[in-house]
Amino acid sequence: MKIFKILFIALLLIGTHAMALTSKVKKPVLVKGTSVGEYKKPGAPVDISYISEHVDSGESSRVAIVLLTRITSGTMKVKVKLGKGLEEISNVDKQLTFELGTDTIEYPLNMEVSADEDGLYYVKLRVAIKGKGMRAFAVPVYFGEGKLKTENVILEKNQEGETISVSAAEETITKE
Amino acid sequence: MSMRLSTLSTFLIAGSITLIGCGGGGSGDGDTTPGGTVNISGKVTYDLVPSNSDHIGLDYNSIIQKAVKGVQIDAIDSSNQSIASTTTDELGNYAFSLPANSQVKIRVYAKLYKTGTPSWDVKVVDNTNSSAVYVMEGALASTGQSDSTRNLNAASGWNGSAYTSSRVAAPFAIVDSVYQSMQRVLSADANTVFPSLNVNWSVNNVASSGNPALGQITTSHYVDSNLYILGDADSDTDEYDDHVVAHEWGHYYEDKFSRSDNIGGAHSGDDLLDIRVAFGEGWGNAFSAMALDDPIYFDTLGDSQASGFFIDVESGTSTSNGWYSEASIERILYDIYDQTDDGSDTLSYGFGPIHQVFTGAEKTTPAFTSIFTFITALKDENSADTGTIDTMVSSENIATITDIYGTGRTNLASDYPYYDLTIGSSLSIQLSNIYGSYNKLSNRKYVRFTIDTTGTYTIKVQQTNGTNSDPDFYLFYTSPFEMIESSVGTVPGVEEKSVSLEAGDYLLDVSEYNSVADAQLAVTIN
Repeated sequence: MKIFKILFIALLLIGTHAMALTSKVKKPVLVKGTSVGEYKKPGAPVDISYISEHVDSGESSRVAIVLLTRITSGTMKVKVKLGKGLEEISNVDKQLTFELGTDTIEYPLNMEVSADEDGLYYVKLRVAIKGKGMRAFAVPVYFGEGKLKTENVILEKNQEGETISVSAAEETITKE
Repeated sequence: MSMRLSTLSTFLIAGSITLIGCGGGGSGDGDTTPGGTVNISGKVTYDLVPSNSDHIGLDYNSIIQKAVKGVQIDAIDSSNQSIASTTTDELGNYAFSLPANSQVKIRVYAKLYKTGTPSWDVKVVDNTNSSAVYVMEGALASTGQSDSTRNLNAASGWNGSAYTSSRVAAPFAIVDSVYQSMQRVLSADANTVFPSLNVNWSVNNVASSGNPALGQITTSHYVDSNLYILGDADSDTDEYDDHVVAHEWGHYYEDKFSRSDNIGGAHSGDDLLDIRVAFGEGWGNAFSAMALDDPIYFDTLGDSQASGFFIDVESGTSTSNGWYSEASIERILYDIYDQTDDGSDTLSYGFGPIHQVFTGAEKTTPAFTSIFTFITALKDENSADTGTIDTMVSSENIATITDIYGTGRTNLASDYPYYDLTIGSSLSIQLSNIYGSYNKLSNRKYVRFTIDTTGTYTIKVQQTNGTNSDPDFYLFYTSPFEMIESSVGTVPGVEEKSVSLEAGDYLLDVSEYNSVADAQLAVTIN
């Protein structure tokens, strides 16, 4: 797909990549994704394609993002936020404004990030085009084992063998 | 508008209280009965975080406790076994008759379940944790020797500036939106049997495509008997965006009770869309307004869920009204339903006639589902109102619809999608990405043809203005309507496949993968 060729070139241009001597990840593993063609709720008519590098924790991962829209006038405001535990090595402006025009549908954003611990992290984007709605995107960046860190939840099986996720209710008991 | 009907509520009130492993019924008068039973009753609520009055962002200063309706609720003993089970009523109330002086806790499921007719089976599950059904529980406490009340509330987890504890209310907020959506259908058919539905919600559900088990759900959407709902705080959460949930439930309704040919993809009110997408998404927005009796669709997102946007399904405006506009379609459908006459809207059908079309003609139409198929069926079934319907449709810049294919378009007629092909002849079609790619108007054209003699035929789609395109096609038999073949090869400039075809009518959906600006294609079937 043409857009991934563009992203791959962008990835090469972001910077050199340091390789650890003892790595868990046989690198560079490229993680590609796109929202094109996926079922979506209503929102800004924008899609995303990206490539990020899956690397070991402590190393830097290059992330190449392209926002795609056919809107040809106005501005697209993009707010960039890093997920908890993710640090940026590059220095990308976190409040971007793209002037939309007829000569392009692709709006690139490249950055380099790192994390001290293995895990699955996200670069999060919020895109707004005035009068066209908003849309959130999250670009995954995997470090090391790349597992999702979940909050502590209590899982049980009920009598029917159904797995249940148990939370405490606020309860008021009144004796009559 | 006051169209709330209480069909589901009626069934829930009538629902029996089941006593398991416990001798005797309750005295019901609060008497102390050593060794007997006592009544434990109460009300189940959840923290509803409403939108701000301008529909932009959530208003955490106005949280209200709203009834949890129609969900399974169990009494659990000290061995963690259910000893009684019932459902909450439309006010969130429940009652058990339980053994006196027994250690019991109350467990509430984010689950709507009923067997018989009508029936339903809806569960809110954590797609990132073994698809576990969300429940909340009270504390294990003695039932005592007299009746008592145990009220349970699902807390939002909001501490004034952030979510700092478990978002217990979220699954119950989603259940409430689903309950209201089901209610709307039951208002048209009290005996509706709802196919099972899993609603996948998690705090890990982010707007990233990939693996749903990791929470990568792209965005809130419906697919294959599953709703996926975002839960990513400070980015995009949808548990309190009830119109988003109802919109996606509307897609479930189309899929299970009617037919949806919607191919998905990005879309918004000003887009010029493939007619199937325009209708499906316009329907989703309109249904959310019908289900919630609120024409303002809102979606909150951003830091502290303080940003967002809204769509006025009743009185909104758009820049590209027409048969390809989801905004036009949502306004038409909602006007057909609602009790408020405005502009050219003088119809107030309620949900019954809409349900009739969706579950009847729309389900079996030999054309792709669109505003053309819907309006044609609606007029057929309500012939006395044909003129009124035409006027409403016309107000959205849509010329009178006379058949399921929308023959006779006057607005952007050159982008009209249907073509007719004679077997053995060549048909020239023009694709364009001038309005966008994948699911926009003129990204695809539909070729109608008839096979008179069963046999093997070669379908060929070849570019005639270069070789930079990648043509693809999907083949549909129209009676019954089903996709029977696809051909999505990567050879530049041409797509070709031999297929066995029975006699009958067919539709070929021709598209082009490379998004070239203008692809001229020759279609032949020999």
